[in-house]
Amino acid sequence: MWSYEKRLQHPVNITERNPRLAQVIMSQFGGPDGELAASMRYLSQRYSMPNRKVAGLLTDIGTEELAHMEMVSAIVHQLTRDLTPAEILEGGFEKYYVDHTLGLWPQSAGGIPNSATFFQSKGDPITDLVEDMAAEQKARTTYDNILRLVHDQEVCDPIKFLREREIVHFQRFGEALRMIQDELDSRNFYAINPAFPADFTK
Amino acid sequence: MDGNSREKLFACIEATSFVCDELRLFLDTHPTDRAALDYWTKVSKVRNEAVHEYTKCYGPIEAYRVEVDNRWTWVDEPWPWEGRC
Repeated sequence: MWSYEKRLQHPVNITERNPRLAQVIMSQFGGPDGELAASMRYLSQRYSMPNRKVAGLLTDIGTEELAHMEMVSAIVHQLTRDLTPAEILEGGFEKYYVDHTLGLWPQSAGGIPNSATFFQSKGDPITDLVEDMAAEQKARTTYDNILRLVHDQEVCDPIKFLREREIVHFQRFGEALRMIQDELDSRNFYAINPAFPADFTK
Repeated sequence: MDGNSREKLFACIEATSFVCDELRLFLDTHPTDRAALDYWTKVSKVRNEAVHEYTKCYGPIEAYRVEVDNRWTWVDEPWPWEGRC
C-alpha cells in the first residue's frame, strides 16, 4: 500500500519559462530512460526477487522513482506554465501543445509515447539487476545530456540532484547483485536462474 | 503478545486505513462536512495508535517509522505479496 506526502523529494522552484528545455526534460518523465519506466521496472521486478533485502531495495527505489517522476513533472510544468501562443511557437512546443495543451503526458523528447517495452521484468534476479544497473547509468547519461543544455540555475539544481540519485541507485543495485551472486549454487554459477531453479537439462 | 493479537492488531490497521482512504476521498470534495470530519478524527486516532503498537511489537509497516535499535528491521519481515504460508 502506498500513501502520498505533499512535498517534493527536492524542491523545484523555476521562475523563468522555457518550452524548448521542457520538451527535452520531459524525456525523463516518459522517455525510454525516464523515471516512470524506472519505477514500473523496479516495482514489477520485486515479486520474483527471492532475497528479501533486495526485494526491499526494489520497493524503496521504485517508490523513490515515483517521487523523481513528480519532480521531473514539476520542472516541466513550471517551465511551461502560462505559455503564450507566441512563446509556444518560438519554443518549438507546438507539436506537443496541439495534443496535450500544457498538460503532462509521458512521452520521450522525440514524441514517442511511454511504453512497458522501455523495461524488462524477466523473473531472473541476475538478469533483472544487471538491467537495473544499466538503467541507472542510462538515466545518469540522460541527465548529463540535459545539464549540457541547461544554463538556468533554478533548473540545474533539481536536475543535478536527480543525477546524483542515479549514481546512488547504481551503487545499491551493484551491492544487491553481489548479494544474489553470493547465494548462488557454485556448481551452476553461470547458468542458473535462482528464482526458477528447474532442471532444464533433462 | 501472541499470534492472535498480532493478527487482530493488523486487521485493525487494515480496517481503519481503509476507512481513512474512503473518508479522504469524500473530504477532498466536502472539506467542511461535520460528520465526516468527526469520523476522521476518531478513526485516524485509532489507526495511529494501532500502527504505533504494531510497529513497537512486530516491526515497521511504513518506511519512515522504522524504530532502530541495533538493526535495520525494515527488510526482516515478509513482504505483503508473499502471502501467508
